[in-house]
Amino acid sequence: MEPGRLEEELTPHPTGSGSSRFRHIFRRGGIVLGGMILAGLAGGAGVFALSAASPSNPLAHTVAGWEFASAEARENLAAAYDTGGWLGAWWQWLLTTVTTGDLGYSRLLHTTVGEVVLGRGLNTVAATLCASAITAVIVFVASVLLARFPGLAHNSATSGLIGAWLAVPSFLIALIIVVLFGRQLPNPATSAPITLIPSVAGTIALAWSAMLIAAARSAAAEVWSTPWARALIGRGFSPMARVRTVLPSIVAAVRAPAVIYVPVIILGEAAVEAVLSYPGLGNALVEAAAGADLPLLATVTAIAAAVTTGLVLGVRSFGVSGGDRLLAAGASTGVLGKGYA
Amino acid sequence: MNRRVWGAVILGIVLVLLICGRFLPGEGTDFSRALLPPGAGGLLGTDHFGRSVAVTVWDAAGGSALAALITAVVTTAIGAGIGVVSTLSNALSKMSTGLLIATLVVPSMLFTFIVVGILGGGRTAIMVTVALTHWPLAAQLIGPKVREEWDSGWVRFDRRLGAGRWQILRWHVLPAAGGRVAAAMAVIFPSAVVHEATTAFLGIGVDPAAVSLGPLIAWGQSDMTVGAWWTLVVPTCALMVLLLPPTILARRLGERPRSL
Repeated sequence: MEPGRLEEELTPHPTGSGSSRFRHIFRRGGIVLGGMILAGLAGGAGVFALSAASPSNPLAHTVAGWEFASAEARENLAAAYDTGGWLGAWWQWLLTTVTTGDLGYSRLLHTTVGEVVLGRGLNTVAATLCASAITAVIVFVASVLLARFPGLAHNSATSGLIGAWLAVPSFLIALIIVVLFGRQLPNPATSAPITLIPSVAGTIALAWSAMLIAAARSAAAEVWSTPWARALIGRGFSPMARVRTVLPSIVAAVRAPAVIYVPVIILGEAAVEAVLSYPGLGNALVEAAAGADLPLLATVTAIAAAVTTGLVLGVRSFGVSGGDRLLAAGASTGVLGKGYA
Repeated sequence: MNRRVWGAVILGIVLVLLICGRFLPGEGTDFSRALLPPGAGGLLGTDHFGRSVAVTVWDAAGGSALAALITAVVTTAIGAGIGVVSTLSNALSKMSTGLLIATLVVPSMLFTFIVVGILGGGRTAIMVTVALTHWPLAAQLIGPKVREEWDSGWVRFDRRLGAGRWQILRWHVLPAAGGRVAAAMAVIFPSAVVHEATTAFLGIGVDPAAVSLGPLIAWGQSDMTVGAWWTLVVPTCALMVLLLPPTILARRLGERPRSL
């Protein structure tokens, strides 16, 4: 599909009858699903291609020792690699996965890849949900303060503070938490994952809220510069009335970067998981990348690609906010510009 | 000079001083001087190899700064070039937007982990992945502005008076797009530093012998258990010195690309 056609398909159409709206939703859902499948396939294939292109060619070493539940599947994979190179190996791995549900065995984590994905995926989802809740509270409080005190949005000290906060990489925030509260934190080697969630979720929320508060501050500065907002103060409206009037504009401005950043948060905070030794999918990806554990790396990459594509396309398709605004939000929050993933 | 220019000058001086550290003679290993505190072990103490922390961190920060600067310049140039070309036709513009959406889908840090983890290549590979994931930002920031200026009435007027391409570039295009070029570089530079530091900290695809802030911070974390706080605090502060000024500058330059 041409890019222009895709744009047209993804643009929300608010009007129309029930059946045409259903058709639009169905079509957009199809685009999202198709995008996810393509991205997942491309992610998996990309890992195979990169491995084959690497000077040490880990694919050649891994194919012979790629452990599946059945010996036949391993022989088929080795034969496919011999005849079709990385493309053949990838296709055979895909066929085995789809027909038997067997993704192989992770030699680093000493368990099947399926179990790693399921167990660690749930841990990551739990940490992300907690991080989202903490972030929502922090950003809401900051937004209320910005709506209540007009001077806060224009204050250069606030801008400097947010700039400094934005500059701290998330792995450094995690490290500071480990150094300051290391003794109080549960031991990752002996504790259940649920006990580690508060520290991981808190760190991710701290990293995430900086850019959302920056967006809220920009929006508040813009709102407080308008004549109607200044009239609220000039005509002696109560502080609560100001908050009620200005807060929706600030929250609306924060919504777009918040949604665009969700895909990055879900798997992007791998560094935080690694520093805090949290058994999440991001940490598994870091371990797999560092140890060239191809069965695990190909699977997690495919999942990451599918999930992020699905979320970004979903957000664009189902119109959480306008397309241009979403692009601007993505660029300004760091999905593009700043690598705080 | 206004505050913005002063800020840029100070940032430039800090950058040059940091990069100078890259060309200092390397510190030799001396285990008899391992983990000496500041004072007994020189200005900022020694690390667990017995090297001066000040010199090692200066070297590492210089290397990161130099690599990030080159990445920011090259990525901005590539992005600006593609951005300008994409404004020439509607189809190219749509293609550029499509690429921007594709970049939104890729979490750049994960992309770096995967590529560098498999291919290796250390700092160079990290910077290439940063360039691959960040050029659309420069394209979207700079391209439309250059095109808008090129098609403006002032430029058409000067062309009729016989001004050449270089004169138009110098008189109109560069002054108009200069702020956006600086903004793009100010966003890409810290991003490159963070990508390098994080990837090296996690030990993905980086030569263990290479001097980099990431491994220094990782070693400092383990040295904290024996009370050697300086091996963690100094490289962490150096990383913040590298990140803070460009991040604040980017905010001041209005890195928020409203025209996207």
